[in-house]
Amino acid sequence: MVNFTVDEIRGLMDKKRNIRNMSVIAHVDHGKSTLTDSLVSKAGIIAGAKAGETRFTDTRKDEQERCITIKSTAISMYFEVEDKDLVFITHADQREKDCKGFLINLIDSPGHVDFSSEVTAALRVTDGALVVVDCVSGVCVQTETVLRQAIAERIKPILFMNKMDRALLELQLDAEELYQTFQRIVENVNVIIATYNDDGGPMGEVRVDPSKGSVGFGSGLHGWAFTLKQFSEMYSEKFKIDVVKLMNRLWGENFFNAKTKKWQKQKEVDNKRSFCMYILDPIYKVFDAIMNYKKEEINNLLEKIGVALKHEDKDKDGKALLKTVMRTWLPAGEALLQMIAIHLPSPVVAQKYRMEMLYEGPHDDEAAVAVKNCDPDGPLMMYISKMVPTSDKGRFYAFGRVFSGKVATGQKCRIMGPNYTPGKKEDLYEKAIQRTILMMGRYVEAIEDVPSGNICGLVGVDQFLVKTGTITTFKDAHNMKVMKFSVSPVVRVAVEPKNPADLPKLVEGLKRLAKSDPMVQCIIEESGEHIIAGAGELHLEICLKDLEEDHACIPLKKSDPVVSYRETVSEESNQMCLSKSPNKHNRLLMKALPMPDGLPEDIDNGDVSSKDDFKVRARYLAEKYDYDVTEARKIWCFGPDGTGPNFILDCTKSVQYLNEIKDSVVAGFQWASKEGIMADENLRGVRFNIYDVTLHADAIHRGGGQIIPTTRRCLYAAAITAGPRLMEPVYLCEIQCPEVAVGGIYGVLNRRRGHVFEENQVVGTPMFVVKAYLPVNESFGFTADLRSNTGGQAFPQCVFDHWQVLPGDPCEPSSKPYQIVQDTRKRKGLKEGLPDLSQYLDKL
Amino acid sequence: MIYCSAYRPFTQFVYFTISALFFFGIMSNSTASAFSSLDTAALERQTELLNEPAVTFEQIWNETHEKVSIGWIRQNGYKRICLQFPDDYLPHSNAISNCLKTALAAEECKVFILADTTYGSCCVDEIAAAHVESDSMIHFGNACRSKASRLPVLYLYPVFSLELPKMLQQLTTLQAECAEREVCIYFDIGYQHLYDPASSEGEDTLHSQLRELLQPKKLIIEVYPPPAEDCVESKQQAESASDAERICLFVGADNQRFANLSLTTTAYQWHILDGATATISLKNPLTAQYIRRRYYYIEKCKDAQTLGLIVATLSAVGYLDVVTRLQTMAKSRGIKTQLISVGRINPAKLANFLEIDCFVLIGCPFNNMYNSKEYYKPIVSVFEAEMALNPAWHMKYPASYVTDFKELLPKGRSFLPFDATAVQDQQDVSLVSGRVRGTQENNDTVETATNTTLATQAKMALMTSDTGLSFEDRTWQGLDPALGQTEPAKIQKGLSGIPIKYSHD
Repeated sequence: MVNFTVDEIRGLMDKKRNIRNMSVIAHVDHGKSTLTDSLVSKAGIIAGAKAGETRFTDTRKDEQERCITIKSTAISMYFEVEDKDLVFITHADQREKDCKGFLINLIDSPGHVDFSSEVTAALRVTDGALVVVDCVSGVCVQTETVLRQAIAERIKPILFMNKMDRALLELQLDAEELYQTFQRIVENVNVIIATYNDDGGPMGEVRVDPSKGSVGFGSGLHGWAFTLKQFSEMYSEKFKIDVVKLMNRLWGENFFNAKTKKWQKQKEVDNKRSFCMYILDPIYKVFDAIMNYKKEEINNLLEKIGVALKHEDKDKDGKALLKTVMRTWLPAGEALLQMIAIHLPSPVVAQKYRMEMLYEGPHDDEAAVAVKNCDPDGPLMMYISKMVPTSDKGRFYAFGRVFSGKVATGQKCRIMGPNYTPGKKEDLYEKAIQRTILMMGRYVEAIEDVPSGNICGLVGVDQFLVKTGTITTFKDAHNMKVMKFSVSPVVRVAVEPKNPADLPKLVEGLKRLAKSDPMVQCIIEESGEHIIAGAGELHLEICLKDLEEDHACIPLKKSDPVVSYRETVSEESNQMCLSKSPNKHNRLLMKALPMPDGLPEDIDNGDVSSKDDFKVRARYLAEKYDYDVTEARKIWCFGPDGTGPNFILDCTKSVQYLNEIKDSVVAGFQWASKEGIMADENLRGVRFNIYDVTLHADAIHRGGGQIIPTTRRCLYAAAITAGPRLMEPVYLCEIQCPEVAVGGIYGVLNRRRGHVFEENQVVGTPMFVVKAYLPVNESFGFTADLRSNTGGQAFPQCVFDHWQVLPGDPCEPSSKPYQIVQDTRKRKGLKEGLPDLSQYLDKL
Repeated sequence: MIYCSAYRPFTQFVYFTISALFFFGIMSNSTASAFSSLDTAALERQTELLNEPAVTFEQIWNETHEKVSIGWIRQNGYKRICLQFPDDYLPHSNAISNCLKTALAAEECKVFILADTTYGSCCVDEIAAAHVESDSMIHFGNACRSKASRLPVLYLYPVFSLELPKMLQQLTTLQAECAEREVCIYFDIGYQHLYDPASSEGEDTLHSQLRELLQPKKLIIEVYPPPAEDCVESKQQAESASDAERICLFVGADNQRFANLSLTTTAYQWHILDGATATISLKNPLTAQYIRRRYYYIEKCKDAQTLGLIVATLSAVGYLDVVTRLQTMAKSRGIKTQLISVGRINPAKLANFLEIDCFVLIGCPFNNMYNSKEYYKPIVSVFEAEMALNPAWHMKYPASYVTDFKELLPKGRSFLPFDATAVQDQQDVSLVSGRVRGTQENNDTVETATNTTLATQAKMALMTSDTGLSFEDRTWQGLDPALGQTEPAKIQKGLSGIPIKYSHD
């Protein structure tokens, strides 16, 4: 049934200009997996009649049951492109001479915002993206998010307008209206692209344009699709116009006057928009004839469009017939294949401009050059973007992209985790690749070796990587850049085994779960809680299910979802805080103060980081946040973990031996910023100033033992006296609904401390988009609540946006933060009540 | 003459400091000098309060105690006797020693008071005793009964009063629960006088009274810590038949001994009969929660690059074997170890070891739990280190805790053989840091095993930064001599005195 062999694919892998690595991205429910089926069926992997229903790339049972993609799935397919289409590929690096075969490595990704980490992982290893938009609901939140990510990763997009069948059958839009809808979607998409891409940049113009053929139209469910190229080809002979020229005429403000046989640029009484006349009208006619059972007209039309029905299809009528006819007339697979082959970049083209985004090391070293040239004879550089579970429990295929060189079974490689730094041994392993494999949706195929520009899986690497990593043979290679996710794991549940003796199994299961998902975090906390942190409720639900059924295989007790808080301060310390070391011979004087708005976010985004040159950083802080330049140069470190959004700053004047205690102070600061004074949570947005230090003249009496605990005490005292506050995570929540439901949304949001900051009607539809901020803590059960209050018409998409100070003083027993602090302390097994300042503050 | 190595406010004694490492000698008292701080400093110094209520003189020293000890001394003809007190007994120490001196005036015995034991007052401080060349020791209060190898020791427990009828009355509430189950009753120190093991089979003894009252399937009465020398946990192994169904009752208070006993003994249910108030309460310290919390530290221990092995025991047999065993296990995982002895541990002392990621405390069974958040790096017990480092413990859930490290050595009850080759197959993810836990050790071995040409090269590339990895990360690595690059400085008058008090201060 499959119309290609692994050998054919292996042969094509060497023809790197004929490879297309692409992902399918879209908003949830816009029909990615359904559309993907068309290509899969064209490759012969599933029967044509089943395409659109199988959702071949939804490999998990729960994906099929829930009709939602959860994990991204890769599939490699072999296609041949006809000679007449090959001429459209003009770029020399976009095809090999004398080779019709194309290898398409496709990754179908989930659309739900909770799984957008899967999208990020998919984008990293591909060069092009097929952006699917439901033409009925238009460009949605997630469309924008994934498109933005794609552009940031330098992924070239092409657009597909899906669900045209709905537009025609359900909404009964007339041709002009439908054109306007398409036009608007194209515009919206191009606005997003223009916002995040610079046309003069390395990728060049990436706008989508129907008249160039980079926009497809059709219905994934019914398996038909077209671009202007298909229609242009049909008409070009009749009009005696070149296909490319005709394509330009078939879109936009081009009108044809049937009487005068003239093309016009303006709408007039007796002319008609060419797109409607030549493309939509025939489709409308077919729909009309078949759906209204006009037998004669059907035969007439079929003849015109050149569709000969097979014997077994002749008895069909209505929707079934429509499907068959449309699918034969305008096969979706063909249209998509052409879009992909012509408009998406080959690895040779893409890696030229992507290398600088991908590689951390110098851009002229051996590895960088090989990546840039997609050189199969260079050193191996491969990025592992995710782990795919195997049938063998607890083992994973490491899935990724070979950017240069060749990866082969049995090859000895350096496996470098994200914490590897060149020259050090940490996070570095030298191991042989057990096997290389080809990912084929639900199946895998063994393959001897894989050259640069391809996507594949590796066996035997999973033990040395947690989620991602770089594999190379070049010993001076740096890491490939780690992926930046658009969502954060802010929702947490604690799990424990129902039977306490199953604890080791749970621990083992958590370790497996940590691998299997690019985003999830599995942590044991000091309180003894085993925490799973995910992007949202749905994400957690899936993770818990996987943990219980696949990874740990034991019954679990789960806590209600909770959020983690951050501790911060609201003002400068009201006194100079002094702490003495245990031997009383060293004194530290410090104050805490809040960072200016925006700075913690800058640190999160890496705009201000520990890796910057101190002068550059100081200038940035001085310009943007009015910091004193000389002070800003003396930031000792960021924390927690050396990178977090807090820092300690040396404001002392000529203190003797100060450099000697720097390491100890830094250690104490990392400690205190990880475990805040109020609720043992991380600090956020706090700046500590060291004003004065008195040190013992003898090194032995100012060692770590004296300084580390003292620094911690002093920092705590500074935090207590600076008006401590709690911060909670807040979602940006986008809700799409009809106008009648808007009132219900407001009601639900008000009850949950949410606030609406934007409300728009989607142009051309009766739908409204409401944007609101919603505390994550209040978001549990939000979807269900919203649905019940709006008659199931509103559908929210929540994504973590920012941290927000929780109003109220946690030291005030009647306040809400106080309650949260006490609950947290209790959960963590800490002494209840408030921290006692006198324990941390000493007198001179 | 009375020697007291006091940390506590007892400045009227001449005192000196004893630690395992330093012996400063005898110093003169009262006024501050270059060598000591002011008396008032010692008086003002805060000590950690124990949660046990203060004892009265009558409780720790009554006629029986006196008779027993004098008899013991006379019988064996000891001449130099040490009295070792826990901190909270010290107020009565003088009276007791006087009492003994008067009674033994004829024998010309010398009596010394020992206090402030280096690690914990439960252990016999033989080293301190050796400083005064004593030939015998009377140990007061909480005792771990670790084997003392050098000195004959007499243990004297306090006597707390508890009315038997009251106790029996309280126990009636447990009747329903205990019926048809195995019941085990432990008497804490202070209540052991209630139970005389010799008369257990008699008619109207405590044993039969309890049996009548509770109607258990089987009744065991034990004193805790058991009088047998050497092994605190040895008794339980004999009857670990139906552990999970057993009901245990501890007569005493909710203290360290109870924690210790209940962690090491599996039982269906634990009850404490508080001797002071004669009330019964339910308590289950070996909860899933407790073990889960300790699992965090076990994970931390697995993550460690450098382990600090703290030897905090005076006389316990076998600690060197434990050290060797831990070192072997750590080495097989590529973890470096440092052996440390710092006397009584506190946060400041341990924070001096910046490079150590986790400490393992090798102490006596009664004195190895450190949960305080004040410590910069976690401290685990030997058992927890064993769980972290020995692959045989992988996927195993401890039915009960092991506080005595001797049980983890060959022939011990919880001994599991260590197989270094099993470590090789274990690659896992740390649930604390979220990183892959790798062992450089096996990284290298695999290389040499398979392909020599590639291995040598690769090894060269990897070996560059093998030693002192974390030391490299320090910004301050000592003075830079910069020989010949700086002008010689003129000689100036420096500081004088010793660090605790310079003359210019």
